[in-house]
Amino acid sequence: MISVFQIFRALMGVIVFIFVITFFLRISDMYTATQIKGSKMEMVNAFDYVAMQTYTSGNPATFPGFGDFETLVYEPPKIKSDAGQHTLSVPVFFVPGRGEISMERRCLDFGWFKWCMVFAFPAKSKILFTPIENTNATRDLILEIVENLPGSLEYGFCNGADARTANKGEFLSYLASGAGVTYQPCETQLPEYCRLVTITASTDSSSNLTENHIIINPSTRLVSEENSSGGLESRPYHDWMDIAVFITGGVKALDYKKAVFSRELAASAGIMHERSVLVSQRIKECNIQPCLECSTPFPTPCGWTDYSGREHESGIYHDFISSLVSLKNAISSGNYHQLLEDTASKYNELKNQGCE
Amino acid sequence: MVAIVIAILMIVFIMVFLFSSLLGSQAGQTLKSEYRNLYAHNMLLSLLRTDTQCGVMSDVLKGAYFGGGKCDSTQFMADRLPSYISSILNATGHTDYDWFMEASPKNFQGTVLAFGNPVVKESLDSWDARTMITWEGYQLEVKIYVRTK
Amino acid sequence: MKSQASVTEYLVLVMMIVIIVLIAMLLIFGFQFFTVGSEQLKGRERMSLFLLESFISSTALNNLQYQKGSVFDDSKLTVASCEDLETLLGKGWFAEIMVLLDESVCYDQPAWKKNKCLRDLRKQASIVCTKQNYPFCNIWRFCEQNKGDRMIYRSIPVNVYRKMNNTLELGVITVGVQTGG
Repeated sequence: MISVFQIFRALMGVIVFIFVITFFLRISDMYTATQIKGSKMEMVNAFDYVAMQTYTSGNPATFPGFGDFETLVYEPPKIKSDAGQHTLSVPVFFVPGRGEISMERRCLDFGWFKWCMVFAFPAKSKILFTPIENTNATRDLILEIVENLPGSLEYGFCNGADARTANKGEFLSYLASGAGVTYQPCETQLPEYCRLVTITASTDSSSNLTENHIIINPSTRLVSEENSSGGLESRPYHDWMDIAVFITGGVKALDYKKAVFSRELAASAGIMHERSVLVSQRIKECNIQPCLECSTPFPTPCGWTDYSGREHESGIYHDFISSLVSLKNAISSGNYHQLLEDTASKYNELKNQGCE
Repeated sequence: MVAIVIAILMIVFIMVFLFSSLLGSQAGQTLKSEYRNLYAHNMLLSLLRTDTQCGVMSDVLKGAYFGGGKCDSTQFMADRLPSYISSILNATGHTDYDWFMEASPKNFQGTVLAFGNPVVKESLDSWDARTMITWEGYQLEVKIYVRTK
Repeated sequence: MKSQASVTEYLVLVMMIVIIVLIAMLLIFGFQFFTVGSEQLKGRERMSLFLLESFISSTALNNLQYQKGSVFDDSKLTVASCEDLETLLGKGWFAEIMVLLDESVCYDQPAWKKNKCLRDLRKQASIVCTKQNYPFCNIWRFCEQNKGDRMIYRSIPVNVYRKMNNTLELGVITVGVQTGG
């Protein structure tokens, strides 16, 4: 005969069993989802860290890849994925993709100011060029772009239905040989991770625009891509880096690059201007009172000016300071590129004269 | 029976917890070693570039090895190098670091100049940085070893 | 009586199991928070190392004669502001660069001059640089944080180029990153 106590024990056992099983199932479900999301974010953080190291050291690096992300898009400076969004710590121009990602740093160097960024491409990426007007100027432009892009990519030409690529070294050798071929707009199906760059002064080519296809117009100095409503979206370019950034990420990437570049240029120009005024003021004091703790290592052409901007003796520091003031005033308008080149040449003079 | 089940469950949880903590601490080691390598590299580079009463430190080291220099280079290195390094360690909050520096010939036969605690070099948990000084075709390899006391 | 004791014993056992399961639940959730916390700390440590490397390679602050970096130009340090550097390097950090003055220059002095020499040197060692006292100063500070903020600090040796007398001195940079705690 089964006692009441035995029935009670059996019932209690079943209830506790159901409670424990339900608890563990819920916990493991929640834990798995959190862990998957956590490990995806960890991958994005690791990517950011590799980008930071590439940025500071200048050494190329390889990131093993993003694995099984459902969605992964890059809207500079944020990586947006199914695990959330993350703002990258350094300027990165990133083409999302599966598999290994090659990262290399590239810089624009103006002597007193250097601006760097990191290119991150899937290792299997290709860039195809279609120079419709195959002139020396066009070939020089392609040479400048490819010389500065990562060596891990493949480069080639697309002529109508024929598209061929080679590694960077082979491509540059072929380019240097100056083969005079007439190019037709590219009609071939672009493979995965391939960007097509058509170089033409003609505006008719816009009708051939597809995804991953950009147009460079060397006569107007505009780069263009197709926008979401099927029209053309264009931006002016000033150097090879603008084009390279546009190739990786289009209008958004170029707008981001210009915004970060001009912001950092303004900060650096401010520091350099103040510093040049301070140094030239102290040079003046050294010249008048050599008992101060300076060994007057500055040759006479360096000159000096005071904080109110009054020129006391014309010299190369004065010229450099004037060029920096013009640059600072022009940055917000966006038309500063010629002035930036001017400061670079004045700084070079400073160095040549032994003032730096 | 119940007691056994409970005991097993507790052991499993503790093991999972410990294992995960171990994984977490491994990741921290990478950052620590990067910092230490940067520290040692910068310590060596900065020391050798510093201007002293006897000239640039790398020139003083050259003088101590090959002879010559503005003053008694060997004596200067023996007296001043420890105080320079000591001031670096104090200022960076690493009074727990011990060090050893040596300059040895790379492409010729010669003796080795050594400063600091030689035990640091043999220690398994030390880290190091190295650079080269060249003088008239002779290459001197300068290495610094650091470890926690 | 005996069956009452059995029931009580059984209930106690069941309660123990439930308590252990609840402890396990707390342990797992606690571990999750611990993992998230340690990830954040790892992120802050990475940031401190990145900031150090950015400082020692920045063209805005370094003397450009030295390609290998880690040579700060004292004139650039004197004029740079926290806002300028935050534009270049982001926010949430503190930095201090200090020249290590060589006290041994005083040891060679005669005894009656040695103490004054040491006193003057130590006084100069603690002068924070401004445009007015440049170049007779030794410390540059940027973006000083509130004392209550929890920070991770990292320091490494560097050089400081004294622009006015063309010499390279030994120094130290210390960077602090907020832990957000």
